[in-house]
Amino acid sequence: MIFFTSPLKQHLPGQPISMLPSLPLLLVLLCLSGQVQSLPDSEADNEAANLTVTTLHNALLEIMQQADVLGYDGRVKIMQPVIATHFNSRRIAEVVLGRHWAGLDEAQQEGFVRLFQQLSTATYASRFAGYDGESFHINTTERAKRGRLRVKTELRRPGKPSVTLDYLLQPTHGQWQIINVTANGVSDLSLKRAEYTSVLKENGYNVLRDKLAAKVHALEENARTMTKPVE
Amino acid sequence: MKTTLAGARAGWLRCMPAMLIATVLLSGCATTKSPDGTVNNDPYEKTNRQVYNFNDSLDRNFMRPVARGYRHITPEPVRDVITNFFDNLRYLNVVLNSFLQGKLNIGFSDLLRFIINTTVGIGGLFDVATPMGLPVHEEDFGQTLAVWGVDQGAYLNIPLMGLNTARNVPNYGSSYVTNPITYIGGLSFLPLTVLSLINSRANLLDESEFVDEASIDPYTFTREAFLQRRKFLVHDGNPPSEDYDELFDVEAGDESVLIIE
Repeated sequence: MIFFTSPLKQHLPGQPISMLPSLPLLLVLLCLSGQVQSLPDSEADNEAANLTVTTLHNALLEIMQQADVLGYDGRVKIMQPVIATHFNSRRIAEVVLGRHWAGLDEAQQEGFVRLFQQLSTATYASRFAGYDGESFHINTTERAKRGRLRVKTELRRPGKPSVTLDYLLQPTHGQWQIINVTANGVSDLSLKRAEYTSVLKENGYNVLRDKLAAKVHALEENARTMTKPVE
Repeated sequence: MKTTLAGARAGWLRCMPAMLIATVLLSGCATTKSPDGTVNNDPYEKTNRQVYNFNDSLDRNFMRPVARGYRHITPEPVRDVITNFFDNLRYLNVVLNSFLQGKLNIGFSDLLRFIINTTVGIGGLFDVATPMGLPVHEEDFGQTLAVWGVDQGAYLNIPLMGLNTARNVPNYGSSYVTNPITYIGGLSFLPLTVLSLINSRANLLDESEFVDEASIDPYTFTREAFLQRRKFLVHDGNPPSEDYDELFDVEAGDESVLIIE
């Protein structure tokens, strides 16, 4: 998932954020304790979808605020499980490849989903590599078509216009997972779909795979040279 | 080269019908429908790609190095002041188009913003209007034509000018006639225009680096991002996001690309 915004590589104070990880934990405990179950279905769904988005936002805040201390590899380590759990990467991969998805064998499909997750992780870890007072805010949660939910949020940046971030979520095995991110009106998924199908049409799957792998490698190299972890 | 304000206004008024007719004609022939009903918003892709490569090469070899050098030697607060100055001069185009779209409240707010920044903000060097509750808006003639019901038309790559849609081409005209720099004669016109161009390019350095970093097919990437961004602006930051959801409703055998109108 990428955001079409100016990079957030400002100063890197790396102050502790001891309060942040406790919020999702608290909400998880609340769910487990059955308190949320007493809410009407739609309200419980909204809460669950918001929790997914909040977990992503908290992870992003953590890698932004601790960018220097974590270094690129540390940021990847934090983002990897968040993306694996809270994005439905297989559904996204299917949509991004269009009709070409069905033409891949199972191993290729698995390989593509893995590569796509790596690219998303690398993109987050390299773009959210500094903190300048940014904060995330959930504005509304709306019903979308086919039982999906849209969580509308914004990234507020001191002294700069805020960025609207809309997430589309669908329930999978009882969990609300993100299937699209729209940043300031630019849908990441539809952008990637246009790009990937264009490469597939011209050059075929192997070239697309190699280009994506090269992109992940370039992001890693670039980010590693820009920020070294604090010893 | 000296042009009088009245003369230019008269010229602009004379140009308006021609500009509108040109837009409608361009829009009319700009998109093609395939047998399955999907709209191709890039019917000139082959030519566009050639122009894109030409512009990109010029940018990489000339504009980017100049913009990087400019950013290197100009402190950020100075660049902010320069950006404010040129943004303010360009803002009359926003004022005009807010009114043309019938957004009277926003139009008056934009006009007041321009007046306050020009006077209290010392010729637009400082943005004092935003903290006063007069926020910046993004309006242009392309958005006005969208409100008036004109179709988006073809996606275009124009030599030296960059990306655009057929519908937004007349905005070159409205930006030109509403910018006070147009009416400055003599020696200061050229350096001001050059500074404006370099400063604008410097402000977009991060974005172009982002495209390099994120894209695997820069032409398609910029086209999709640009068209989606235009849609976002036409809908004043609140586009019908349901359109994007339709991608999840198509079957695996379908490769239709999302159409941004």
